[in-house]
Amino acid sequence: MRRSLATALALSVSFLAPHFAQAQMLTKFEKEGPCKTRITVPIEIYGDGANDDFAFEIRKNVRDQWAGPSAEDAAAIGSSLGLETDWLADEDNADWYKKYLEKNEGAIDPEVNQDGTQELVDKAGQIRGIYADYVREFSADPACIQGECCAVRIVTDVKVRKADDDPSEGYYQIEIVNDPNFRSYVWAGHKAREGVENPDENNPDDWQTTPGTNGGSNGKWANNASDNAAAHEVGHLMGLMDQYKDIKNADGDTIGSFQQHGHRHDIMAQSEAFPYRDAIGQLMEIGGIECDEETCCPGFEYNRFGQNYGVTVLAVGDAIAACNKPALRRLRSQLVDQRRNLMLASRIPAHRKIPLAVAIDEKIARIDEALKKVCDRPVTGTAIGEDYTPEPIPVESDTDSTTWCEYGTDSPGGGTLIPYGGTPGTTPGSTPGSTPGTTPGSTPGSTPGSTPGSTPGTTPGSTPGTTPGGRPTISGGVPIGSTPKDEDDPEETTPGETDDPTDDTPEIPTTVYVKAKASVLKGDNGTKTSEIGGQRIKLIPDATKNPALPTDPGAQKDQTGADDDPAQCTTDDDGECQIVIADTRTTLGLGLSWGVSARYDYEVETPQSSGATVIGDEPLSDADKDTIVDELTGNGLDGDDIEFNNYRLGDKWVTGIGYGLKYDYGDDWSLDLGLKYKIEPDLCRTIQPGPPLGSSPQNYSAIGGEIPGAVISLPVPMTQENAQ
Amino acid sequence: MGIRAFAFSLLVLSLGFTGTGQAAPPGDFTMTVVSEPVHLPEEIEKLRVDVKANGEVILHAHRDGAEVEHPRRTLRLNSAAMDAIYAEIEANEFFGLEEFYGDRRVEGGDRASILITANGQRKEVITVNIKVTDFDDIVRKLNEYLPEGRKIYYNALSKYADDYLEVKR
Repeated sequence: MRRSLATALALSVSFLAPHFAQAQMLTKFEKEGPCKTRITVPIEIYGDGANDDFAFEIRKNVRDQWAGPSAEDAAAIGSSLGLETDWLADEDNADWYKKYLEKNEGAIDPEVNQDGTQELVDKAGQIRGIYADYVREFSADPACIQGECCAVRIVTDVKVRKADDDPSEGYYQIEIVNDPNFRSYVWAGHKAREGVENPDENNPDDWQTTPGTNGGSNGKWANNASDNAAAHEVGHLMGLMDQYKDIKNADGDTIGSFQQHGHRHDIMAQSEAFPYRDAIGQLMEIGGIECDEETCCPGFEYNRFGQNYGVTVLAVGDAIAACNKPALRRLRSQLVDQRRNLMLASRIPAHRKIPLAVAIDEKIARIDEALKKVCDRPVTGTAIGEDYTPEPIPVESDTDSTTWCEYGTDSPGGGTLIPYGGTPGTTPGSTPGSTPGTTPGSTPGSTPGSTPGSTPGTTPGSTPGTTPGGRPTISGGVPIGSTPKDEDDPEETTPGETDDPTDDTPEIPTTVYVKAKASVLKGDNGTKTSEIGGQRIKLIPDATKNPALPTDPGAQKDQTGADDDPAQCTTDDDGECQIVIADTRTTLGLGLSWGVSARYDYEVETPQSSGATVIGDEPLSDADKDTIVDELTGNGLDGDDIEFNNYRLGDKWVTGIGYGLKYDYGDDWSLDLGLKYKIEPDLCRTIQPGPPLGSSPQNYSAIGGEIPGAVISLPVPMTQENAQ
Repeated sequence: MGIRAFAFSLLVLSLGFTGTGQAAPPGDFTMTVVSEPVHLPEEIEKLRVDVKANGEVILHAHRDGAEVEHPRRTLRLNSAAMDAIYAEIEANEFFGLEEFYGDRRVEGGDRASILITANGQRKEVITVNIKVTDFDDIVRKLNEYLPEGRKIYYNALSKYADDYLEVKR
């Protein structure tokens, strides 16, 4: 007999109908507030393993498992800990089972199903602890689990029944078995979830359980408090399905039942796991509770946060790769700002904030690590031909660039720095951007000395390039040159030996000469530069860039200069301009030790890698990538320059697209491509000044859009003395 | 000696050859028995026993429900034990069993599987939350020769599973 009658009976038990006439949902679903639902599962335990201690364990287990992070939150935190989170990614089940069967030649090997990570299981406690910290920080309810928009509080009402007592009405009857090896179960039927037409027999999400009884029992649980079985079984008592699916052989016979792919660490698939956010939504549906998104998530613009973060994170990768300390510091500041604004955004649910905050924190940590280790090495100063270790001073220059953005790949140590007069013996007044020693004044309008009262070289004894024995120094007198000074060299002048201009030299206006160039990274890591006209270059005090927060009474930041007008200029067609600095020198961190200006040749690092961001429910598909590549290459871009970078933010997928098109390519070029999700190109001009600190912004697009968008760091200041 | 006496002598002789009067497992015989919770367990929660034709038995490391961790262990069964086990397999016509038995009314619980190779045949049978007498008897026979604390267990073998659906095969 190919199949016995009994087996046929067993196999005929399908999803398609409830199997218990006495099936009854005793779980209570109540609205606790406009955005919060309370689910109470009444359980009465009996049997030789039932006692008050185990009743407590059930309550505790459910509380621990159902009020912590969702699987999506756990994945975000796990990722920040360096764990693989592929287990969360859905894969087409048909493909997966095909591969499964091919790999095993049709045989069943449960080990194949272990596509999660033991590391995540091992760190589950740590992940829950980190999540709890974020919950406290973001003022979320620690007793709830967050759904898409509304929160759910899941509690159990557990009491113990003595052997001789009658079952209490309205309580699930669970026999507790005094055998820790027993594998807990509940009796359940199944029915299609409300609103699901043509349910897929192999898709648990199309179905719900209907708690059933068998001989007066709703199930049997082992008195083993360590396996989290109670939390799983309570999921069934609330109506959730196991996240398994059948495996069939070539004849169509069911030969196994294994976990739904992508649910490796789903509490409804195994014990050491987390609830999936979809399940929270299903619970509300089962209970007939609607989450009013208009009330609970108004003005929800999480995507804007995600986009800002996506833009920044791409630049972080570039900056780390380039060991670009100034850019890293700048990006770190951006991320800190994004983090703060995220916390202040009152209308974004905590479950949206937390994964993004986790991601931001992880990136900040990476930057800190890079600054400490990876990038801690000397770089070559191109201007003076010697090795030196740059120590950027706390001043940054900003531009109202219409191009995007700083993008974090300016040359190591900051922009190329050329002291006025260049190397010893050169003549003041050489053209900005030219090599030291070129003919003074060759470029009209940019020749040092053309500005009365600020002409380099007019102050006796301090003309750049003419002081014998002078060496470039970092502000404060640290020698820039890596070569130790020869104490026997009579011509060598150390900072301590040089008359301090601050003692007897009045502060005089100083001209900073600027040449702005755009550097574009090429696919072969080479660069192409061109002058940028019409760029407004600003020197901004540190106090303006990083003001003390009013919410931080202990802050002792210097606010000097925060209200000053910025020292600025606008570059001409040759990318050159001059900034006249007078009494703001000190606040700009330029120091007073030099009475004449040095000349700074900035390389304004504009879009080395213009890009775009796509945020969706899944990674950008290969087909969509191909479409984008076709579009971009059709506009003259080398396909090798296009990069895609997928990463998760909570339950969203962010795809960063790096490419080298000019900024003015347009911000709506993707509209005609027919992609599933909108592409949002990274364009500076869409960024507006941000809201006042401490306020809840009305327009999230403002967040992260500091004034102005592009920032470069002013590296080591050159002095008359150290320019030699 | 009459025909009847001769036949009896042959029978005694044949019993003497096998020691038990049962057919020995073939040279390619292997058996793997696995039990695990349906809630996808960690590897260490899986019970697995491998049996080879030469009597070598590997008890894989696992952790039981009481959080007791058991190390991997190897032992060797004598021929009588191997014969008895193989006889049970034949008596229950293992290769005639269905590949899968289950009761989908049960959410949770556990599953057991037996994978046997013998005489060039290879078959795996899985049971999930159901008593299948001919299947369970094979496991019970194997358990007779396994040390205490290392026997295969699953709900259908437990006294507590009195509400499970039961079929012969």
